[in-house]
Amino acid sequence: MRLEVRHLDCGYGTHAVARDVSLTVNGGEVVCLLGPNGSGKTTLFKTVLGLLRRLAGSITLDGSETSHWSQNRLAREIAYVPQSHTPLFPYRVLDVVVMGRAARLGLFAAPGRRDLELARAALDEAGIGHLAGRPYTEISGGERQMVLITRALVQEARLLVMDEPTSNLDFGNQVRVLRRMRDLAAGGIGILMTTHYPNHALICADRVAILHDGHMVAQGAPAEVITEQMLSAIYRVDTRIHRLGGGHESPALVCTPHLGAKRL
Amino acid sequence: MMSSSKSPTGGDAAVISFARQPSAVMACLVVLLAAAATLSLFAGRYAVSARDVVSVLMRLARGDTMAAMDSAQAVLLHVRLPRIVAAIAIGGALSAAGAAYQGMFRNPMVSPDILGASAGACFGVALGILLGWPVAAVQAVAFVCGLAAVALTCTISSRLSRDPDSILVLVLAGIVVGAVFMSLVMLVKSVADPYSKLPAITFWLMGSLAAVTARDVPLLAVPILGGLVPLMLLRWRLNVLSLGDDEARALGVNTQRLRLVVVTCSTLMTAVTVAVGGVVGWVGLVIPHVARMLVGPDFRFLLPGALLLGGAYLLLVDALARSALATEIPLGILTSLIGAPVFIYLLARVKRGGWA
Repeated sequence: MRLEVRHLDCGYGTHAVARDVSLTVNGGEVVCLLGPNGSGKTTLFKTVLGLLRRLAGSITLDGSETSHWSQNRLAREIAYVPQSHTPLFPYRVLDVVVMGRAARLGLFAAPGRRDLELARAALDEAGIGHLAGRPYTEISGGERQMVLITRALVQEARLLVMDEPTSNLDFGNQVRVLRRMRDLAAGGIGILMTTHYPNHALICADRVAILHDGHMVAQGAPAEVITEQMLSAIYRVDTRIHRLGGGHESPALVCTPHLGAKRL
Repeated sequence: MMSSSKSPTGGDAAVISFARQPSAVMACLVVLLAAAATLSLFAGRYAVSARDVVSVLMRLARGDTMAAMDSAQAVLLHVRLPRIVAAIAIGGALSAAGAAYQGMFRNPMVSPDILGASAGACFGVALGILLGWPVAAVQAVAFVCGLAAVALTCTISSRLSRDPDSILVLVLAGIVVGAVFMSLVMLVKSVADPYSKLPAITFWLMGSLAAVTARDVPLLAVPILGGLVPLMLLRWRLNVLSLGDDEARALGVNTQRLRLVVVTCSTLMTAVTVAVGGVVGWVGLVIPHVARMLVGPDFRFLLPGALLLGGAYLLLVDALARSALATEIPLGILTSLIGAPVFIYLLARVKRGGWA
């Protein structure tokens, strides 16, 4: 699987929010999109998912242009994992997960036994099989995020587009979601995600792309892209990056904001 | 593995009532509907015996409805049976349409009345009565006006609010459009002949099944089935649609086409009920909520559940309407008197929990 975004302009109506964006995601890779609020991350995601009409440029999947694909065909290849949310009606967790089968069922069909088995197996594999009968509205935010990831897997897409999967989660659930993403990438799925935490990109991403004011300002390995200068420039706060001695593992990087300095 | 789950079995205690057995609840609803229909056969000013009922049903089964019969049997065959079919069809159609509207607009406050569909259809019917059109033409005009009202509500709402899921703006737009169409109905009434047309329009506006005859049954049933069958076939997709537009599309659903089908079918059903039974308010708002409490939010059960419950409810209310007082109480008045307090109760429940 290889998603290639080339010279993409995207936005609402004729107003471009992001311009000349190029980006590649391969199967087995976690690509993390960093950028302040309003930098165009969500607009880019919606365009890749086919929810917004692109203004210029190309999006190809394994070399074939997606602009004329139906929503159904796109959904078989690319799954969307929204931020953990609360729907209006209290569907059971299993019913939420099995909605991932929509693109693979006929117009008048409802999920059959095979689809339900698939959904149950995916919940078990994610370690949340015991939630299957619970109302989705009554489980925790971390559990909801895992349920939405599971739904995307049941969709059998090869690329997951994840909108801030770690926001609104406590520390333990953030780590569990990141670990789950690494596991999925190890299984060959491509992941394109956004985050507001540079440390999550440092821990989890194979590559990092930085979007600022609608332009892709840097792209590459996390250690090369996430620098003190870059973070200071895009977030307008003073930040330090520390190298932790990692024994036999490769040294880890962490970034910490510096509260003492005045705003740049 | 997540923080709030205490043990693998800890969740089971919290499984809420509906999740246990929606199909068992459905079976109960079928029994309820059958019991309500049986009760309705006997309800009314004219007393009939069980023997009359059996003999009429036998005649119907033989297809022999022309032969001479006594007056009790005639009442059953020509008054009560058509009325029972109409009550089931109207109650079921309004409830199913309300459930579909609520899921599609992701809005528990919408119903055929609130979106303006009923008011639009009302104007169409009032116009039809004024001009003395045949029933089928009146239904067609009611459908077109109902559809126009819903389209107007959606357009106003989407122009006024950037958030397509805004509950408040959609409801307010619906109230505005409903008010406009109801004043058009007033306009029709003001020019109607005060000795023949005006009483007809006024009485019909109150909502009643008193005038339903056997001839109306196919005129009611055929268009309602025309709206209901597509909804029943698409009902699992309604679950996906209720997640919101972006999410449903990302799951591979052609939301634009699906919405068009759902709005058209629901409005057709609503318009037909208005054309035959007048304004029977609150059913399409309240019954879907009660059905959701009983069978859960999954449209595979919710849509047939609302259909059965709505049919049984209107049968019982109609039985009450024709037997409570010496003269018949208009149906729409009773459904409002019952529906309003029930809805207040539902609102109070929602303050404590979700739209369960």
